Amino acid sequence: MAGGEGARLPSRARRTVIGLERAGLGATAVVVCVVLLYLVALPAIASLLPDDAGVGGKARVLDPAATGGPRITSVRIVPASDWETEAGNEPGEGRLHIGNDGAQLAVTALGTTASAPALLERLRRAVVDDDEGARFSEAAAVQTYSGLVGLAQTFVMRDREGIVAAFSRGPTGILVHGSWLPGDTATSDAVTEMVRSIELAR
Amino acid sequence: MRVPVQRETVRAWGQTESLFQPRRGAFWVFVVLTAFGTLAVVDLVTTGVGLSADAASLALVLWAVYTLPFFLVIWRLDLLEPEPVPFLAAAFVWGGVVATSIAAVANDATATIIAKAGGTEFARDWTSAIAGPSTEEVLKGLGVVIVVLVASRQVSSLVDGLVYGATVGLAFQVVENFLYCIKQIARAQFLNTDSIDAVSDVFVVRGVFGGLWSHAVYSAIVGLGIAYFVVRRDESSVRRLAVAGGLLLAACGLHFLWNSPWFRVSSIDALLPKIVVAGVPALVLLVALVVFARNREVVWFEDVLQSETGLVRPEELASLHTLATRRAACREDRRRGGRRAGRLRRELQQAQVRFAVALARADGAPSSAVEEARADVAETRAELDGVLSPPIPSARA
Repeated sequence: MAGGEGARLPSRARRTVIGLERAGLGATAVVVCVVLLYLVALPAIASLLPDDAGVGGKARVLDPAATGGPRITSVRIVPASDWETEAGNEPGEGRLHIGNDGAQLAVTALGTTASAPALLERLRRAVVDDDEGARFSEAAAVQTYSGLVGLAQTFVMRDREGIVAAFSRGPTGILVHGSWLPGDTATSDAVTEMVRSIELAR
Repeated sequence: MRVPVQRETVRAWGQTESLFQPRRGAFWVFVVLTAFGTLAVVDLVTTGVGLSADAASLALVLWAVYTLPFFLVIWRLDLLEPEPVPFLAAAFVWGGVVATSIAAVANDATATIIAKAGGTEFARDWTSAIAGPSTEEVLKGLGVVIVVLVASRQVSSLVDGLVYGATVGLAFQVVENFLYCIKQIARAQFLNTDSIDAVSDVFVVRGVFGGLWSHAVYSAIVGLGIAYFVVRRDESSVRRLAVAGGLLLAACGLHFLWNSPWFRVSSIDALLPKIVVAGVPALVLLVALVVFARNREVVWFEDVLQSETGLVRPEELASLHTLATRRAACREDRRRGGRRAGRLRRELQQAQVRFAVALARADGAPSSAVEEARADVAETRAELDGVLSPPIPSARA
């Protein structure tokens, strides 16, 4: 060995068994640990923590059979992390009513063969009953992440903005009514995400 | 933990290494995480293009054009030793692809933890203030650490750390903003509103009103701290760590302040107080750090050129320090000898900087690069002198 017994090679020249330079490997390992902390450890901690306060992140299953429909299909929705279940409703009854700081979202699973336009009209009438001056956008086709296609309209009332959406597939219909304070784009984003999470599950 | 270091008292200024370092673990970490991040970002971009090709294309063009002037400013921060393009590109890729994709996962997880631990009301007010700084500043800072670990000679001065940090931050900023546009396009499509308007709104709020005191500034501050830790071997480890940690905390604090509910605004009119209180201080701190870092780099630059007074005269050496003094010298020559003289002065300045870097890299050894740079300076100088002091025609009977 050049340099005599016991002489140490320069750090850049010392290698691991797979040929990597030893210099800087410790610091590289720290980088990898930090990346794993963010990619693996944090999500694991998030999923392990008990969720007592809100309904966020957990899929809620709505049963159309509770509203007279067949027990063939159920409806799943994933509420946003900081929303809470409003008092007096049970997802098992086919209706989920959640809220967050003045905003509300109601999702109802129905046993019905009515079309999406018919269901949407029903929702529209409910909004107009609350405020005759409510203004609606054109009805537009919407699609959830699972591929479920329906119709939606946004609306503006005296003191609220919101969205109504209706989905229909086979014997199952879904009614969505969300509303929030005017200009609250963060909440409208959250509602939009929740509506897009809706899916049918057998 | 031992980080490969360059003593600032030992000449590392002007040295360079290749980005391709297959014998270094950090290189492979960079490669693997870039592949992971690219897949994640491409998936999101494809989604946006599928929703509205016009709006997604507009967003892409807007943010690409937005990037250019900022990148040029960052690149020109290091007037005396411009960083090599491959390393700047690597820093850009880390910020735009690696840090953004990991931050997306980490921010979601942090938001859930905050909601579960602090309750819904606390989460609504504080999630963006806590999750943003605690994940994004660290992840962006790792980009500078990776550059150091792949090729430690590339970070040989405080300005280098600042430049790499700002590059990582700029990339993070524009890619995050682009992805935010995609999200808003999806929302607009779902709500049947105008996707182009959604993109324009994001650009105005996040690019125009929030752009100057955003990720590029925070990461430049963090990058300078990392460079301080790496190059200031003349100081104790505790002090170097304190400076690096302090600057990371400062960047996190400024980011926290910007995202905090104290300055949450619902309209553009209300942005002014937020900019004054939470934005401008970040820019002021960065400017102070740039001045400090440049003054230190000037010492190296002058050291390299001090014995070359024939090619770089003392007054020229002084004028090379800042962009303002360089331009003043060009203006003076243009006044004396016309536009050509001004252009030649600029070329001479560039040749002199290349000469200094070549000298530093050769470190006293014979080098063809030094000789080429020397000849380039001499030739440009002769041409400039000829324009400024044309030979007097000999009188003939």
